[in-house]
Amino acid sequence: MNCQDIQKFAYTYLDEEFDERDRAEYQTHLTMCPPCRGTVERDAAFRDAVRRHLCPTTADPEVHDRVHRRLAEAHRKARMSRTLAVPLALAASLALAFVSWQAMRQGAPTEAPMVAAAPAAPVMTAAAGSATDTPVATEAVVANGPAVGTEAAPAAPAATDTPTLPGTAVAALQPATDRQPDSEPVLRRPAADPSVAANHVSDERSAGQVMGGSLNADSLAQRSPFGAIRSASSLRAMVRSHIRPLPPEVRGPAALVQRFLRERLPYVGPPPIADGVGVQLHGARLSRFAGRPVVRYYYEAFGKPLTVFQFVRTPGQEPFEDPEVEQASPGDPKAGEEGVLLDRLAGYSIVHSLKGGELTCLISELGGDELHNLIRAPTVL
Amino acid sequence: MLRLFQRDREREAFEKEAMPHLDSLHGYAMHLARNSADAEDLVQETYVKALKNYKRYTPGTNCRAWLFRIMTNTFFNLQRSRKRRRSVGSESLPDIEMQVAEHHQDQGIYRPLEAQVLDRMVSTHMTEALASLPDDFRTVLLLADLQDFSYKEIAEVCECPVGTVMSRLYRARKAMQRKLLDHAVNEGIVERPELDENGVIPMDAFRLRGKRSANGGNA
Repeated sequence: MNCQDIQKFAYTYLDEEFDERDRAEYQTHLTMCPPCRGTVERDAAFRDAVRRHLCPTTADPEVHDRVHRRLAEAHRKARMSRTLAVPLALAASLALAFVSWQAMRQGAPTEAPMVAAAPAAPVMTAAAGSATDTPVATEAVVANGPAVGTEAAPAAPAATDTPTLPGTAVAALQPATDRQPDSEPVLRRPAADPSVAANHVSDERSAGQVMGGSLNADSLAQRSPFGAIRSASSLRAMVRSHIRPLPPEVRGPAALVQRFLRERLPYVGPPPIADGVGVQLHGARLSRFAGRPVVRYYYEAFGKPLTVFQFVRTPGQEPFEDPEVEQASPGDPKAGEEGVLLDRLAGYSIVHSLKGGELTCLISELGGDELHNLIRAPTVL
Repeated sequence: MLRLFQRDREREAFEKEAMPHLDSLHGYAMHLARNSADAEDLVQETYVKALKNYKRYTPGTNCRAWLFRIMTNTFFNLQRSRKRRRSVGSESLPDIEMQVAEHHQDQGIYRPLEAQVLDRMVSTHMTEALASLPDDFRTVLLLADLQDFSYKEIAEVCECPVGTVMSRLYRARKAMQRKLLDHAVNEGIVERPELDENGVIPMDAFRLRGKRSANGGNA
């Protein structure tokens, strides 16, 4: 070893990575060569200083706790998927068969561009192969039927651009549960949530809708336009559109969005939710949902995407009315009250706000309470 | 049903083997991510990934190195996706600094600091010097000096040859030393090495300087 080697391998020596023979040779050189000894001593001092600086630490007990909880959650999910994979695959295929049979009998609302209404394309995919790890995948799989929301770019003709969602949309129906370790089971029944349920439909009825009972939904759809929006297939289309949105046509703050809308619509109100703490408008696009024109707003609320469909009122179209509010007798506290209804689907909350025949729907991973507060107090925030 | 029990047993075995490394993984994550929230995310992500892939781990082999490999890969994947989002890489800066440091070293300007000088350096200087290293150099340095991994283990964690580990470690430490020297000069703890007109330190002056400081130390 010459002096250059000594410099070059100083750390190999200090990290004790030499085999015995090389180490002996290195040490012999050091005893004979004071300049090299000096450099190696300095390197050693530096190495020690770094090690002192990087002294090992311990993590807080809370960190330990949270890691344990996260692991338990991951374990629970993996366990579920094992138990339910086979029966769910069977159930899913049965459900798919049922839905395709239903599809031949009737159409369903879809979200389509305002310019050209895209036809609802039945998607017959191998849902059986994509059984998810949730106990309610059967219901989610139903969504693969004819009710798939089609949202096409407005500039393109409908025939060339009608992206339907593949069978894997079942998985996409779930929110990113990894980021939401404490999330409830994926498909939640509409909750008996007193703060939101000011004007809530009975659990019995909405459960029928959300759980995919298309018979129930059909009868409602026939009853009122609002019933059609709240039908199971329509809710699914909303959630799907929320998960996989087309890009906004206009991006930017409220002022830009409003200018864009004013140029295209006869009447434009303020954005449904004002920017505020934790809420920001990112853009908008004109779209069509269930045969009606809508303005689709792209928000971010408390770190989560929030989609708002604001139905545009057009002459000649029946206004939205909540049958329950309508039916309430004058003495009933429900009478004349603004209608806010909550639906839950696949871990997403859908809040419908009905004011003077105008309907606004909010879709997000956020809880129903939070969404309700957003729509109820738009100017305070 | 049997399968379920098997899964439960698997998790028990995993926790028994992997959980004792949480503190050291967390320490490593703190230096990688540089803030406690990101560090904790990194730790959680690492454990979830490890549990998912526990089947691929051979019991009795180096579990610690395996966990560190998962964390290192997770960290680099995260960095890559962030860089893609940022599009303009601010990470290129340390690379240039590294090259400058190495250039100076080749020119003979660089000299290692003495133990007394190092003692007078504040720990913030050390933190800064460490933070200025490019990610793959910092990783290797942390694995060696914080986690006490051998070169062979580091090679396993970083999935690269031992030779690469050695050269990265060497360059990382030299770059840090250079950074600390700059700080020491700025703070007036040591004098700046004099350069000749070519930007190279004259060897005679350098030798004399060594003697002078040695004499000073004796007196």
